[in-house]
Amino acid sequence: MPELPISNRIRQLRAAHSDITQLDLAKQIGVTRKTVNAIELGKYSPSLEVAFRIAAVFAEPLEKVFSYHK
Amino acid sequence: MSFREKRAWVTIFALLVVFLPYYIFMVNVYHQPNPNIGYLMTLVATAITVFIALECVLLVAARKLSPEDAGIPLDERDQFFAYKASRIAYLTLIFLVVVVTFPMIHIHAGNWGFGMLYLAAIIVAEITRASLLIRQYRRGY
Repeated sequence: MPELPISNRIRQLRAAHSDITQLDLAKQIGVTRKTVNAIELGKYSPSLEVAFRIAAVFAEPLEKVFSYHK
Repeated sequence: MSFREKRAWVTIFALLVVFLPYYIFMVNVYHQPNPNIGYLMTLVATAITVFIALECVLLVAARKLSPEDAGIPLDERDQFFAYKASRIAYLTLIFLVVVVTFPMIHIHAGNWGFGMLYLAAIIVAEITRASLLIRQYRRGY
């Protein structure tokens, strides 16, 4: 699998927000659970819109959820 | 397995089950002395009709096997996978059309020969598209 330059803290944030499930998060941001899983595992980089939606669910700034590594 | 992956498998299965026997039978008919083009046209129309019917039946079955994700609209990752698969399938189709056309002109193939090879190119491109979708869903990216 190619190494994506974007990592995220979605798993930790889900745990911190009363163990919100991937399915719940997926419903809130309008994607499938498998897409949330792929994002969480770093297999897929979401669009900017979905990234902002995820950050909004956790009420965190975008850079606290996603980070970019060169 | 997700509904979208099942759907891709259905396309591959239906194409192979219908068009592989069709091509074997059609080539035999076509190589007989004075092949009846009307009969060949009926054959191809029947194959296409059977393919559509089979794919519809199998899609209904796949939908019943995955009711939870069958009704979910495509999200951005699904669209990205579909775009990548379609792009490579399109290039495959163009490549096959070019590869098929020039030898066919050289051997003076008839209209029927051209038609059947173009149909085969479309089938191969569609199998390529569905295979790539399956590969991407399996890998997750």
